[in-house]
Amino acid sequence: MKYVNKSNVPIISEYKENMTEKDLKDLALQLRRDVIELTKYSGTNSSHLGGELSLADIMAVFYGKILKLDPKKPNWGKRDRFILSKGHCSGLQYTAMAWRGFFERGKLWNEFNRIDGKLEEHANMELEGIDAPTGSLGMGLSNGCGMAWGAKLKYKHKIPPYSVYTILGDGECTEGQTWESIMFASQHKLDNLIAIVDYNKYIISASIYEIMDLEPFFDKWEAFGWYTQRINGHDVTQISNAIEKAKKYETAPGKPRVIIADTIKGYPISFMMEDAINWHAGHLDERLYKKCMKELGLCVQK
Amino acid sequence: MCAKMIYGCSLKGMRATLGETLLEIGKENEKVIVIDCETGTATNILEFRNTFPERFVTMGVAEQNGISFAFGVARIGYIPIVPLFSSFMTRRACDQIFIQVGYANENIKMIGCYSGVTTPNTGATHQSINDVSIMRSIPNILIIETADEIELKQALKKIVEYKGPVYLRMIRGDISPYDQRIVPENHEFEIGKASVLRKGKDISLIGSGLMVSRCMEAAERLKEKDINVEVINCSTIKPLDKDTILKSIKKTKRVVTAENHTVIGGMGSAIAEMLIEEYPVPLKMVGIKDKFGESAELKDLLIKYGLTSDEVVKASLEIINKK
Repeated sequence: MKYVNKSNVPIISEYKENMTEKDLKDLALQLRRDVIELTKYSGTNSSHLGGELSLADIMAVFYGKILKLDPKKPNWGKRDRFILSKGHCSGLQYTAMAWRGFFERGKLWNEFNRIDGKLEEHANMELEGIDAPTGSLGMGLSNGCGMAWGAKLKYKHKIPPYSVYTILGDGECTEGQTWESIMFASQHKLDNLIAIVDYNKYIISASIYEIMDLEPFFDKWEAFGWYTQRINGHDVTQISNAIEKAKKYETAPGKPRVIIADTIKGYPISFMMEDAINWHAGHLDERLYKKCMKELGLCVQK
Repeated sequence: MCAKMIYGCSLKGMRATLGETLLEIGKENEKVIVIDCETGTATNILEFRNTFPERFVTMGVAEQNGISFAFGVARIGYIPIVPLFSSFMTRRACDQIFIQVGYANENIKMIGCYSGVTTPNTGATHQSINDVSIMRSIPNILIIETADEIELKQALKKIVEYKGPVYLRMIRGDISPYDQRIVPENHEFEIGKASVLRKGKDISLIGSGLMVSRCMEAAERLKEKDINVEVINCSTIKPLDKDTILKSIKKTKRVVTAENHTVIGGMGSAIAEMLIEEYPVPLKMVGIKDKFGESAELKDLLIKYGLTSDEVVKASLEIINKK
């Protein structure tokens, strides 16, 4: 593919081992900036920005600190599995993958929502480093069950050398299939499966409380047999500590693990947070783009 | 050994073969996993569970979870075989199949059991009359339906060797003369190949599954009227074996298709779509005519829904007498 668009945004964060809290915050800022930039250059000038921005800190902690992977060997058998079940936020995952070196950054500005581009609005298996094709909601935790169950079978009587992570949206917790897999994971004692819910409180058309209240959400997961934590999903240290705890076998042998992360849709862009219903999927024009950059505290690039 | 009775019915035919063959495949290949959604008793796969308990899993009555789970298991390197009632697999889990089997081009083997209208004591809810239409419309997925148990056994083994998504449809069982051998002694099922079971020059009868036996019966009856019939067993419905089919039709210039499925979007439609572009000839389709099934005695269902050699003979004569 011929690359036409050249983004001039500066690098804020570079990969290194042992990322500190400050490093993870920088990475989260870069992912937010890049996903807005990607939206601007997207073939459709759009992506699912509201949920991407609510997820950015969690994504930064995963790619910056947690995930055991090798971008040069994307199919390495012992890598951690990472399923973005809320697949409409693939744009954000692409920015993290580019940061981690799965592909060159130019792809972000030239292949998202463009004919023959590899960066689909909802990721597919043609892009190396993607573990599941998602986008139709409710399937990702079932995929995670399959991988976690398969890993336990493969490493019989031992703790598998990798974890299986699934990122759920709160909206997709209204899908029946999500609860089918929640029951399955518990029944089959999938203690190598970790779900993280990006609980931004907005389903597409309104607040989740108005449409389909999930509360008491913590109690529901617990009642279904999951080891449950609830954290601030915009605090990289809380996110990191919760995942580190969840991935340890000793934390809750025989139990799958979930982290409910309280987040804000569109965070930290004021006009998106104030009008989250209109920023589930959004289009950015030049004026709004500049406003986003200003609110992120970044210069607008020419 | 497999159970001899299931729900008071003697265990013969297709599901007996499925149960036995899965056991053989399980012994031959340690990567094979069987995923059930609580139809395992009826589909006769529970001996696999008893023999290989670690490699068998039931989802409860949750077909959508079953297909997406199969994707996950396949990504770890296993070969999931998912034998479910074809109605619930292809209708209930259609989106999961579209995205996580077809779009993902994943190595998952879906076995659609109890296909067609030939499931007597269930009715329209369980009778899978449009599974081929659904599966044909999804890219990447092979569609197989065999003429008898011998070919079923061969096909099951072949699809496990094949790398990629497959949908194999079969019926419960033992409908005469379907319970007898249809394919010849030296037959070897091959993915993507149709087989000529009887040579002739006046008309081509192309059948899939149960209806291949009906085509063979019809051929005998048409012979009495001096009509020389070619019979083709279209055991791979997608992709079609265009070479074998076109070669036959270029010779006979007439065709009747016959399937245990709605005539909308099934094997007959696939042949018609191909012929209208490549070599248009008079064609008639025998199958279920755009209606829902019902629960009734099998012999009555077969007659009412047109799955008899009478229907094949009638359609053949209509085409031949047109001239």
